[in-house]
Amino acid sequence: MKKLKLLVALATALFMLVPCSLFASSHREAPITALDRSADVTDWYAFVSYQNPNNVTFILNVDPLLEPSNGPNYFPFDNSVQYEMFVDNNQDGIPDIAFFFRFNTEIRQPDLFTGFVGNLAGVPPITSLSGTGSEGLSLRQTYTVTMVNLHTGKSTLLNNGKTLFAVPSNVGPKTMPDYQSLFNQGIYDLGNGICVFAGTVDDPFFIDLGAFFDSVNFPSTVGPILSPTIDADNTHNYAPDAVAGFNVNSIVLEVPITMLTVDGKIHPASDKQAVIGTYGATARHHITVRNSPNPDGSSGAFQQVNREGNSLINEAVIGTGFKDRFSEDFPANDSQFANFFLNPVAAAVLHSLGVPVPPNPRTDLLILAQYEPPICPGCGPGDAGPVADLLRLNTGIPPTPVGSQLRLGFIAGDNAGYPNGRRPIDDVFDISLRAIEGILVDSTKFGLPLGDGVNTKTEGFNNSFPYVMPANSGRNSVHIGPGQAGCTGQPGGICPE
Amino acid sequence: MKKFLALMFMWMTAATWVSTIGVSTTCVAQGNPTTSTNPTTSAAEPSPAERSIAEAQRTIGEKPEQYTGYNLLATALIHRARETSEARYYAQADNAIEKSLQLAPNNFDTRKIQVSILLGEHEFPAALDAAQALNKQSLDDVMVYGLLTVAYAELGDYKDAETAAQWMLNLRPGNLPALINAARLRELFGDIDGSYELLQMAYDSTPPTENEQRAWLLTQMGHLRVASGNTDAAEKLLQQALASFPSYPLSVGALAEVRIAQKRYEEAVVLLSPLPGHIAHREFI
Repeated sequence: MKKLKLLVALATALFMLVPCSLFASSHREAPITALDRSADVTDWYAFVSYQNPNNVTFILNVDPLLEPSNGPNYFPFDNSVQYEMFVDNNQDGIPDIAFFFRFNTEIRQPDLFTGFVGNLAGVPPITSLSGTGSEGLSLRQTYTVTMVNLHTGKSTLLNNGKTLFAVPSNVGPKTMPDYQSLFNQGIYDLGNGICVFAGTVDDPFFIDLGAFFDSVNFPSTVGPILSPTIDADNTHNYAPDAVAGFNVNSIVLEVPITMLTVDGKIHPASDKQAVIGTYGATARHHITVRNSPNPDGSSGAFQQVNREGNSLINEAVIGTGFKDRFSEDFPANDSQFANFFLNPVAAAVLHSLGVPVPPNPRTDLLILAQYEPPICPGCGPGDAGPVADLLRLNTGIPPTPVGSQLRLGFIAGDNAGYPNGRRPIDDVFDISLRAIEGILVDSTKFGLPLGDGVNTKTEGFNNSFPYVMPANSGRNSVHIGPGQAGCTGQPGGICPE
Repeated sequence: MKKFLALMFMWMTAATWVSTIGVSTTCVAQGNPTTSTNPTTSAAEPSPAERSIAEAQRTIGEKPEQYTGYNLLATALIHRARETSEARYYAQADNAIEKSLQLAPNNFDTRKIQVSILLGEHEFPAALDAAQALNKQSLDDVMVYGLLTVAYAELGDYKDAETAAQWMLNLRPGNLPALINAARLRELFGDIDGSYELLQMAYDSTPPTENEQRAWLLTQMGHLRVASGNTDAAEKLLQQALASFPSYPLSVGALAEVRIAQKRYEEAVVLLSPLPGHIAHREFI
């Protein structure tokens, strides 16, 4: 009976943790994912590298909305989670290549009251991830990168004999007086054109989260229909970037295109073999209630927990009661969710706000879920593959140079941008709104310039590997809200109420 | 059974009392940090639940026409009930849910919170009916399976409880509620080590910033160590829990369990002495 009483206490324990529906791109989107933060995929990026057009960069961000000051241990990666990147290179919606990341945590000074200390009590400042200068890194993480050919099962450790350290959160200038240096130390060249980085970074996503989730209550002078001036602006914000000042855990991998395509060659954009479908995921060991005498029987192979291909599919398209199923299932099985694409609730919401939208079924949105022109101009009707939420990237389309990239990406004529892959600069919220609005059907009828007025990342962008910015300082970071500074497009830089 | 329930009542009320007065002589003498914070009062720094309550009330004040603020408030009050082991918060949570449902009748998330309150209030048949209705409405909602697991188990239907818990694990591997539910079922099935293993996994996946959640898990792990006769390990876990969330009634009560196992009855009495007039957490009566 006592045990049962505790079960009830447990029930209350579970439900008290259900958060309100606060999401960024995919921040805490599924009801249960919110109870498994470290396995919560917030954003997935894939793009032809600006620095090296022969490479593709993947960014897998997990663990949403990390408050930089939230010590003492901040936000380590989870040892029990397998972080995963998948690539489909033959248009069947089934991944052919995978990259797996596993972390190991060491507590080097168990008696220390915090995970990180420096310039205090005789402990020198943290200036290095290893050796001299790393004494204050009590909590330190290393990781492995493994490439798996999913056809042959061949597994290759890519560490190249190196110990890879994850970059810790930015505690502050006293503890970590040169955080940029620590950040740079976390960049590893693994040879053969492969680079990797893992650590806590500034969350590159940008959105007026509060206004959107307050039943689409944007500042009246800003959205949801943007003025031509705001719409054309790629470098200023007119509404608060609610993610500003927050961090996220990020894994960044850059590999040659030749490691990804079906035949190991680089193809022109017109060739369907240039197009890959990608997604990021997290997985945990499968567990059974009954403990089996065989350990593998009760805690077996890895099973997917969460995934993301295209941004905002799970949170904006998939119905609430189906989000968990969507997260757990594989892209190749997404035909079961096709109705959410064909009859999107978000379109009905836009219509209720007076925005013209095309009638259902919305077959135009299947461009996000199948291999079709214009992202895959070489794909014929027989190449579409199953409905599958994959972030498709035409590796034959060269990267748009920094400075010429447009926040609205592909729909604005910047063909190297979302939904042809996704770069940090891509304003996926505005792009997704317009896709749902029906811009792909007829931009003259369904082309109102919808958006939230957050057009860029407050902290800026990193235009070289790892393409993410160092973590915000726990000591000095601030967030941005209505009535506060941080909207550089507004008079005095003050965000509208 | 009555004797056991009475003991449970005393155990919990004593735990609450200890936390209320904020003093446990025995624990302090042993370096027990239970005096540094009192989760049942707001005199010092507000607890996580108190902060959530204040935030929810602010949200309601700003947007009283939206149901979401009331859901936040109800959730925070349930949290506060766990922090303090005081039943009155359930009634307040009920009121918040009532207002939420007036604003958004039949909202799915609201009804889930409502079922969790029903469970806390020991309305198990009603909770099961409501959870089953939610399950029919949305077949793949993991949290609904959590509600079903608890309701089935409380009503003695362990087979269906296990099925529901396994669904949780299959649908979202390693999710914390499922791990904890499965751990409890393993304990019920007599697999103490297996139960501990799952709680350890849940603990490892709980962010260090979730102090109360970690303390809760450590307390359950300490309880299992007592059950397996390892009071030293239990003591260590419970002191760790109290360091994570000082004066936590559940942890103090579990510490009394350790003292009893150690035959240190007088110290246990100090921990278990009830506070006159205190109203116990309904789920422990």
